[in-house]
Amino acid sequence: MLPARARPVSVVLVVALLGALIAVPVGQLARTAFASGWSGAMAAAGSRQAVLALEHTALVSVLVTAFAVICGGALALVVERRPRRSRTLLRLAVISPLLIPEFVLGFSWSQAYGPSGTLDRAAGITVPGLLGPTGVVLVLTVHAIPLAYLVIAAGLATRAEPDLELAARASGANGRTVLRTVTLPLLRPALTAAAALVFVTSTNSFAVPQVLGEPAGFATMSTLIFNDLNLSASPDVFNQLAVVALEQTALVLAAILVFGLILRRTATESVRGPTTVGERAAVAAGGHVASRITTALVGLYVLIATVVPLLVLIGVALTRGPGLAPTPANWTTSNFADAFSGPTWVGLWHSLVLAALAAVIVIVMCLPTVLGTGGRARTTLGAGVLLGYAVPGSALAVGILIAYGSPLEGSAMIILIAYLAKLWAVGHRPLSAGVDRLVPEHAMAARASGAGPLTALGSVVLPPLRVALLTGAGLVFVLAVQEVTMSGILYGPGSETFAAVILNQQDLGSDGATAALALTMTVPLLFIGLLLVAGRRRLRSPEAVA
Amino acid sequence: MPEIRVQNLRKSFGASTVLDGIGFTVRDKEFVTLLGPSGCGKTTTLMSIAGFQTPDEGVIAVGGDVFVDRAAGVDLPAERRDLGIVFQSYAVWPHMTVAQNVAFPLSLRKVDKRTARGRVAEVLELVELGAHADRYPHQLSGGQQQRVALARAIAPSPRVLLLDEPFSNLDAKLRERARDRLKQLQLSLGLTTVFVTHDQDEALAMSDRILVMNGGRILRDGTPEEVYREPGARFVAEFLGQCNFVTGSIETGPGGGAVLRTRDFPDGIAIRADGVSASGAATVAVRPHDIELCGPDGNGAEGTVVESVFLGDHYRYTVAVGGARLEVHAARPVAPGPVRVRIPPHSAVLVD
Repeated sequence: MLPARARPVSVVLVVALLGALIAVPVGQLARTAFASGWSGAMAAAGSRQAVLALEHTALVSVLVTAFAVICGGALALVVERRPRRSRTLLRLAVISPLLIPEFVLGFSWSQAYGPSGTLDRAAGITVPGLLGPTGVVLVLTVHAIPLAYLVIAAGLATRAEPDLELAARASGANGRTVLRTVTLPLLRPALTAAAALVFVTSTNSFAVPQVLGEPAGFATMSTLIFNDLNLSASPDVFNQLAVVALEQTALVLAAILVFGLILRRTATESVRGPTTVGERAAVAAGGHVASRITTALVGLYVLIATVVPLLVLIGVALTRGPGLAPTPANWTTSNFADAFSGPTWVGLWHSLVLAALAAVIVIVMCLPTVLGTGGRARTTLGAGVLLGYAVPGSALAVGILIAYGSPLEGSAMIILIAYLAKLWAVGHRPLSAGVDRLVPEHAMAARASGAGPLTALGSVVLPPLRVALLTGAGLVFVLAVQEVTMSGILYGPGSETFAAVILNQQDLGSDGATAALALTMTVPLLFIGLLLVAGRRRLRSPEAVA
Repeated sequence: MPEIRVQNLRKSFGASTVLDGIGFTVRDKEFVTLLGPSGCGKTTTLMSIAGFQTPDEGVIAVGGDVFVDRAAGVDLPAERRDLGIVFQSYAVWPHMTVAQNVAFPLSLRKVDKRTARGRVAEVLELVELGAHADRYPHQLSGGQQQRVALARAIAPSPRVLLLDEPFSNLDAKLRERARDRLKQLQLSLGLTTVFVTHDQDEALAMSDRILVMNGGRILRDGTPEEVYREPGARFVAEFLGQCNFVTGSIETGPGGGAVLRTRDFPDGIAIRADGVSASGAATVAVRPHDIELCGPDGNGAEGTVVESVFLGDHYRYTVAVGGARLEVHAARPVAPGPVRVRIPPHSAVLVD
């Protein structure tokens, strides 16, 4: 889109940014890990703590991936094959856990279903093992199901056209055979991509293991790094941490490699036949009875997964003291007053400013990649940007601390650098998709109508990208505000973020104040999340028309 | 014998009625076309026969088997109807080779592997895709994919072949060849076929019988000639080829036949119809190629050529006659200006 002579400049710029934000921190991490040589690193990796953390992380990630892909896939098949009318609300219901910050989801589950949680006191109901590996897997699965769902639903829309299933039915296949021989084989690439995304996300996850695993002494690699870093500042411990962080990075990258190879093997080119009437999608789903049952099941799932925990969160935030029933007689606003004493306002201010800065800078950083490069350069650089997102937040934070800590340690600046490194990919994806959808003829038609290159850019090229720009910036903002892994590691006195304040509040054991803060964070994010979902729909609409 | 019987199909989506009492019979080996504009209910009818849509009321039976009988609560699942269907999108499975696509319905019918392999080869030869058996769909052209879909549909020798606008995504030249090939195949295999299209040329060229549909009803049912020559309804006349309409009043002519009296045609227009007993206001339809133009000194109504277009094998004229404008197709050129317009006896038919 930019003139050809701008391309080399763009490429150099993007490579330099990738180097500074990702390669240097990961390189410094490796240097520190191997500071006392190969044997030292091996010894650190072989320590009981490190081995356990690796085992726990791998176990959690494998289980969460399996459960989330199965559930997300089943939900996608059930919900996406329904008539358009009844689909929108169900979709929103299914992706609702994703709109809640991971930390808040974990905390509200523990308040709702944990021992001496609201339901335990009211009706003796608890989820056995919620504090510990079971709970970590369960809540991470709830959080990951929407991720898997979105990827698989996109695959259903682009690869498994309803006609392909109807053709199999007409050939004599019953519902189960159609699923086995047509739908699932067609979805294999989407299922693989979903598995990769969920695996990486749960390997990198920090908040849920910290809230639900840590109290039971169940440590993953992310929580081990975070807690050891807080406990001790000795260089030995630091080197060991670097080894674990490097291992975690390697685990994620290895997983990406494996999934990538599977993806390459399973990807059969899809035939882009002419699309047919959407109503037929409904036909494949089967009778109305079945759809009523699925509506009920999806409703029940959302009730358990998000609605009850959020209601409990509200109850805890508004109730006078722990153990009291959330009835009007016990209502109070003192939790909010407590919560907003101390550095809370400052943290909130830091978070908003950091998130806004990150959103703007990330979008600017995305422009040279998506507009200033083309062809293979763009694909390669894009892959580099996306890989940056895969590097675990805890590892990235430690790497950035080593690389840029000496002048910047404890400052808000170093948190901003971490956000830019981690969230670049989040802005890149919608923007790159938006640019892919641009029709070159639009600019040509504008030029032929008499518009100069800049007028053409401003009048027909950029306006269609507006939604993509807003979506990218919005996603970066939302994720930056709730980011807790990196800011928790990197903040110093006077530069704490809101999420770090909440984490500390929870660590101190003040449930009411934690709930109040969690609620303060969730409600606006939920609102922005809904706006972004609506924006995504608008982003897709030009395709639907074409 | 696989005769298709459709009785009184009704279907509504909310307030809109899609099928409003559809009923017809397709005889064994017959090629019947459902022709109509989009939204007329033709695809819904086809999908009801296939089992992908359930009518609110009505009966569908093939041979002795009742597929749908709403009153009796019968609705056989699609996979147990033993039909072949070709979709507008072809719906060729992208993860299977051509041969695997065609073999799939055979394997579901538990045909043993060797017989199936032979049958696949045989059917692929029929659609001239023998050399492409091991290709994947994305390696084929649109026309080839369409033939894979056809081969897959006929491989298990289904009782009935259903075709949902199978040519609409082919370019014009290819479309004609595909049409001829399919018609030949249908004749030689003796396939009982229901074909859905909005293209009048396809309908006229291929069908034994055409059912013209609009607004969820069948307006006309007959052979291509019957439907074209005696459309019966104004909508049918307009939908099948171009047509002029002249309004006037009916009288009994000198020879005893019916004549339409109108100001613009002083001699009246003789109506082709046996025993037209109606009188009073009426409309007749006249095809553009039935109207004759001659020099201003001949007989007939006075008219003026206001526009002429050369179309290769004929000329298209717009002729003003009184207040009306007629479209006339003629093989030979006519000079612009005043002409005489003659509607030969019995080329005009009465329409509703």
